[in-house]
Amino acid sequence: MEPVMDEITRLIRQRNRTLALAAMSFVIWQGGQLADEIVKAHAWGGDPQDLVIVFSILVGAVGWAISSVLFLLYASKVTRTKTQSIIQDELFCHHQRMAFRSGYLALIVSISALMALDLLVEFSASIAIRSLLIVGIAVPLVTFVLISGDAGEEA
Amino acid sequence: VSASGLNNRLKELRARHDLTQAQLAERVGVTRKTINTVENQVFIPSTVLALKLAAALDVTVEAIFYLEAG
Repeated sequence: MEPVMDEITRLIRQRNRTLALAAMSFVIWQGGQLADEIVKAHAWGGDPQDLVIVFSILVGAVGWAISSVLFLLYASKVTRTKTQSIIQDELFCHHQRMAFRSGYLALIVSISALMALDLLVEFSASIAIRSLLIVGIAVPLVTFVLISGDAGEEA
Repeated sequence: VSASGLNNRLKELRARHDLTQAQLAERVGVTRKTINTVENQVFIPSTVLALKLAAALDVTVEAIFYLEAG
């Protein structure tokens, strides 16, 4: 393989790993916050639950911080015009559009589900907003990593 | 054949020029995966990329891309 393409492949792998870490950390972090709100709203709190929630919030927040730093490091390596234009080629733009569309559809489904759930159980606006935030951030990230992750075989 | 009926001879023409996907990708300024997905008819390239591919392989766009009859 050509040296430039070696670098491109390495950068794409680094980007996808960083995005996967970001999505996972965000779900753990905000999922922990969401669980905390739900537990407090229903007064289900207890030592074991609280410990698990605090642990997940900490792990998720640290993971999100690490992924942000990794993304800055990745971005600094993609400053060369040629590398950037190759990495952000039209297939990348196509995958990005598909990822955004998946996030939009997931948000519509989530809003509908929350509206249906609202008929059965009471929950605060904060719980609903945080749930939508998790879906809106994680779904496009995961979709992008899944559709752009497989490098395909050289035939 | 893709859902649009567009087919291509990219793999065949690339092999004729003794180029790897990575080499062709670098010539036209895209990733190797883009070439791979075009060859496998997963992704339909833009007119600009089709013209770049044709120039890189020294053929016309129609020599690479064609609509499947029927």
